[in-house]
Amino acid sequence: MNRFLDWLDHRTGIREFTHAALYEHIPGGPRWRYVWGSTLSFCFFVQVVTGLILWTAYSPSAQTAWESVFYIQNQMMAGWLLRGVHHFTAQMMVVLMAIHFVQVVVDGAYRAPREINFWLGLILLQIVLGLALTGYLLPWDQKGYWATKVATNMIALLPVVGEPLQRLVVGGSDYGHHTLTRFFALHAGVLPILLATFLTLHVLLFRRHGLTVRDPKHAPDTYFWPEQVLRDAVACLGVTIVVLVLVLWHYPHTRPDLLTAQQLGAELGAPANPAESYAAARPETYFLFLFQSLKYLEVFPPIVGAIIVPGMIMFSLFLMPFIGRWQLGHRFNIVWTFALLVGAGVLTLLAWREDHNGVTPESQHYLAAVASAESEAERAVTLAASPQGIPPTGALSLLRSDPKTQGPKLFRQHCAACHSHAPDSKDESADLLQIITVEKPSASNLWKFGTLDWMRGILEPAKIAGPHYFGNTKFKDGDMVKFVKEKIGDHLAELKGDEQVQFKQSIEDAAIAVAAESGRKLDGVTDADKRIEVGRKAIVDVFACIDCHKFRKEGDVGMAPDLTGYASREWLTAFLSNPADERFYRDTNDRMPAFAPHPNDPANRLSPEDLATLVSWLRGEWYEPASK
Amino acid sequence: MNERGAAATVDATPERRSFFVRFAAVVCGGLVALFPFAAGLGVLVDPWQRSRRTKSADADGAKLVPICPLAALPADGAPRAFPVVSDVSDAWTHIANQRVGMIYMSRTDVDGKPTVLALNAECPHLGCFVDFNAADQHFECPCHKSAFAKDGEKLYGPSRRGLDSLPVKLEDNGGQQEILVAFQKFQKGIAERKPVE
Repeated sequence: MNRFLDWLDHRTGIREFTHAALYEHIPGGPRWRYVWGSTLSFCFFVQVVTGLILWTAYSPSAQTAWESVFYIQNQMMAGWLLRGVHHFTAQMMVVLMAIHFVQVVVDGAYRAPREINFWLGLILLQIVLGLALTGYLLPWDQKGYWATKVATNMIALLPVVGEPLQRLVVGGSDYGHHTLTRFFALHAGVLPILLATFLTLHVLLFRRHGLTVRDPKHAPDTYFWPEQVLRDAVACLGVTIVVLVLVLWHYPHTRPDLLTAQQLGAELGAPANPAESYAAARPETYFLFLFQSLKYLEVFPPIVGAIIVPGMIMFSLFLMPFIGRWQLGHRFNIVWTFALLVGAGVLTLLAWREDHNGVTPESQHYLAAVASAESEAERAVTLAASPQGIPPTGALSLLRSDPKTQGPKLFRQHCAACHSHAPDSKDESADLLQIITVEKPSASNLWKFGTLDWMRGILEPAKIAGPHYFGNTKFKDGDMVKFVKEKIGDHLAELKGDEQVQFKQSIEDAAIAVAAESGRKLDGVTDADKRIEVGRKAIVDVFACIDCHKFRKEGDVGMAPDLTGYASREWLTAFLSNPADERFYRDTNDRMPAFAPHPNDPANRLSPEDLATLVSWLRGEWYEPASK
Repeated sequence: MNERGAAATVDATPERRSFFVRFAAVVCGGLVALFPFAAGLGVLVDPWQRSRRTKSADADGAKLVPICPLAALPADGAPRAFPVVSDVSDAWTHIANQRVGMIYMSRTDVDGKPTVLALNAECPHLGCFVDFNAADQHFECPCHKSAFAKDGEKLYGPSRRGLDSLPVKLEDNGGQQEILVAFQKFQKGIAERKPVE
């Protein structure tokens, strides 16, 4: 071994080099307070290694960025760990930088001859913030997409160069493939190289000037190795432990039995959707104070809050070595540093409280947006992980055609002016996101439309004229209401004993027969085929529904909606397309618009895709993973 | 003597302490240096894990892929190239009906009974697609000049085995015979046929 080292040393001078690295003179002995610079270098090292490994699996394009990050996070072995470590080490870096900076200012380590190294440090700070900003966009999720849009729009505020510069950064007039490739080149290429260069200069100058020692008589002088190395290593170990804790406990509400990779480590929102603004868009925590300050500086032109004020503050930091030449100036620097930190802290808290108080309408709006964003993200991951997988068009197209999440939106947009979609009584099992309650509904409640429960209700004299069915429509006193009240209600009251029981059974069978027309499975019906058979006969013979309705081969269209295939995909699609068709309400149609009266007409209010999505949603048909 | 002994004890303590400090510094330093590599190890070796997963899923061998109707292949024994179309699952992307490979099929009917030979077009040497040279009636690899007979037998060149034949099944599909092939890729450069999953 020694012979090999001799050989190597002779050719490289490695002994001298190691000696110079390890035997740095430390006056006053090793101290814990010297560890911060080392922890920052360590964080950079962690980011380089984890970043390169992430690079092996990341694909920067509008159709693959979110998808590849989803794959890393949820499908690759311990991908959540790698991503989590990269994400939280970045956060740690910002915190450690603040500590390092405060220490430098308090110790006066920016004063001659260390001014240039102080400025190098400030440049490093900018680079790290640049890395944080560019990295935030790369997963191409809603949060990163909309938050980064704000940042790049700020660039355009610069006079003269703003607009062309923004184009350069974004890679075009709007976000797309080249935004990602450019941000990725900055994040994984340009900025790390700059950081490594400036860090090398920073460390070289630091070694030239030596430590800024406050108390040289604290202990006997030593060397960097081994006592200070141990302290630095322990501090780095501390950093890794904090990072790991953050990776594992970021979601305190996580129940171990429901734990998935999606909940561990760094968050991944729903895929970026340029067509759907994200009301919960916020920058990373350490940029929140800037975000908040914009609200207070709104009286000035936008450039003031976005560029001039932060720029002036940054400039004041660059001036510190000059101000600090006098004892009073040094004190001023310390006060100014703490004032900035406290100010940023207060602004961050204010921003957080404004969003999270849960009392103000703005906060409620924000919290609702966060909740819906979280469920949308969860849904996106569920769909991406389904056997159907992600199509080449990307995960966004999966989400766009997903009835579970798009159905409520389409319903709100097109139907909720009149219709509710909510259970009558509190249904604990109901998914809150599927419930749409209208204050003053003027049409029927479409909750579980066309199911057996719904059919039972419409045949119930007490319910048919209620708000769930015709109560709020012009059919309130119509033929159907009269029929159910008189031919069913009054008749049932007249009957006694067995006859009554038998008539009730016929009503149930008729309900079953119509519900079966939708083609869905009838839950809780025993001997369904026989019941349907009997029910079909009752519709014709007992109730004479066919006097007004067409039902299979009996009756005619033109008077009342066709009961053939009632609430089936085909029926619903045709009905929503044009309820005034002779198959449905014809000229008796009560205010219901035709959503697609002419097939494939771009002027239709619902595109064929949206119509299909809405129909699936009304029928309660969407993908759910088997385990749920 | 006593004095010297005492002095030695005093010296020994910092030495032992110094050893401990060095040891701890190396251990802690080593741990933190390994940390980011450990965090990324899973993602780096994920391809091993993934191939094992698919292997267990397709334990019963390659899936039969429909190629063309039997009638589309003349019974003249001449090899013809056909694309193999199948659904592809590439990391996160699922694409339906993609060309996943190329095969040569030749049909010879013995006593009216159709016999189809299917060969993977990939050269078993290093994976270039072989061409059929109609003049010489043999397959030729454009890369390293391996040559194979019509039945896939190796004639000459660097390839260590003949072309890889694939199991063929004829299936009745609405009154029409359909050719199905169990498409499979094999490891290149070795004498034996070892499937790649």
